[in-house]
Amino acid sequence: MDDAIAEILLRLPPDEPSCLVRASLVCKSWCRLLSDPAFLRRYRVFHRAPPLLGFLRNLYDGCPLFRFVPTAAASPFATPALDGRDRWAVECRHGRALLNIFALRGLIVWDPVTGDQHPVPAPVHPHYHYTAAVLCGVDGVVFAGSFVDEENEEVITWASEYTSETGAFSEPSTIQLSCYIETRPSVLSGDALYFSLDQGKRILKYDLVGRSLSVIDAPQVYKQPEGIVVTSEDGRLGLVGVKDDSMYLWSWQVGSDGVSGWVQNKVIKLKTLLPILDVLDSFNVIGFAESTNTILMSTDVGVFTIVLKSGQVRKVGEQGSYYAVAPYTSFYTSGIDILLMFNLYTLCMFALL
Amino acid sequence: MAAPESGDGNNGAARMVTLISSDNTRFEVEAAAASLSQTLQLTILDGGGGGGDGIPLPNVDSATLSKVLEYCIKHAPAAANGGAPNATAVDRAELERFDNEFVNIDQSVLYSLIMAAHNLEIEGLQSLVAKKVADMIKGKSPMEIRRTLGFPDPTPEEQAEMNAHMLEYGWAYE
Repeated sequence: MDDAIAEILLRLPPDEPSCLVRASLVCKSWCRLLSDPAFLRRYRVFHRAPPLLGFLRNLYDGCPLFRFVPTAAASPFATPALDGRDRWAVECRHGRALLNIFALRGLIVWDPVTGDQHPVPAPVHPHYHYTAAVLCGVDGVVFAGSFVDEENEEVITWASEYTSETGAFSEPSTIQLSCYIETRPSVLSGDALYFSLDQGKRILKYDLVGRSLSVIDAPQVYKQPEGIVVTSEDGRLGLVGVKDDSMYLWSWQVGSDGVSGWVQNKVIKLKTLLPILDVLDSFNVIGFAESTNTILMSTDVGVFTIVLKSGQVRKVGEQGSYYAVAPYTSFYTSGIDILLMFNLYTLCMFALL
Repeated sequence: MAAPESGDGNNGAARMVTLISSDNTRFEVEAAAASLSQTLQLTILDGGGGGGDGIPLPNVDSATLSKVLEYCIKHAPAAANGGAPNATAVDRAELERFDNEFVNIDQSVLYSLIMAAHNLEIEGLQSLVAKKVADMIKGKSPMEIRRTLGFPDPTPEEQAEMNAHMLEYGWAYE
């Protein structure tokens, strides 16, 4: 019944936030449902899921460069306009791309739709590897990196937020690990960013509220490279891995005993998805588009997008060497932050009681 | 996307399956239409529901099932086309007209449909009835919503519990 109710509430119009508030006062179970972050994330995705337009692929051809590979039939961009030399794509989120500009020894946050560019300096904290995440609606970038502390012979992994308004980095949060951060795009789920560690064997969680770091071990069942972090259909942290002839989907859930663990949600036979393939020896999950829950997979015959919900498969790129790509979804409107509106309304209602 | 076997290669007579409602009424319907239900699809792919057997649906009464099948029969051709990428604008407009009329029904039937669409996992129908109910409660006060959906008025205990819940929720975000 709850699921059926969720389907109804999901369809309340986002341009009238009062609808959600009134609905939350109908009964306790509706209130619980409407204040569930997983539901609200689903709601935002339902009403504002920008389509996947393509992905940024890093290459080396005399110099580092990236190319935009369109996946939508009607791409709003002229492809060459998005290509860039002496720069690599770090990741994209909500219509903005984060690019590493080697000549500048820094990054830029770039909105290909408006052409806006904001420079971001390279992290000041020591790093051997680093990666970064661009957040929607936040004028800043979260950096995460690893370095070897020679003196103590240990690997330190850290995260720090850069705010362009103040031009300052936050005091880094650190954690001692025996592995390095991967230069793959992060995943945003709830109030945390998740980065890949140690070829995907472990996951680094950066809590955006508490600015703290912790580590989650990935299910240890896949050959290298291991699975990649994704968000599951209900917005939780998830993981996709390929083993033998199947793709496995996991989500990180709190059990009845209050302890979190991995739950295997789905096993998809790759043969069924990609019947044109004869040999099942070279599959790599190379990217994940958060807003459309789409996996990008490289195979011997090209790159495919797989929409996790519908199982819809499409060939979008030629065969080649891919490590990690940055899927790009367009950003139509700034929209309203439903969660925020909802909280504000609820606080107002609370004040009126 | 893998199309159900029943969706293609049926040049001759289409394969039929029998569904049995909770009040023991038998409905014979094309397998392609019944396969819109994710719940039934696997059974049908395994060869179930044919011949003298039928698939019992203990949670769906005959009035609701007949309505559900009306939807499935109408939508089956488009679904077999993989969401009908080749459908003409006329076809799409016709389906939209059908959908609009389809949910223009008595509320009690609508609520049975919600549960049936949910149990049978018919995505399009779930979405259609959910949208209809969302439209019905849009703009209404909490009490009006309760009455629209036929919920009993809250008992004083429930009211108190709700207030407490609001309090807890409000504090949680301060």
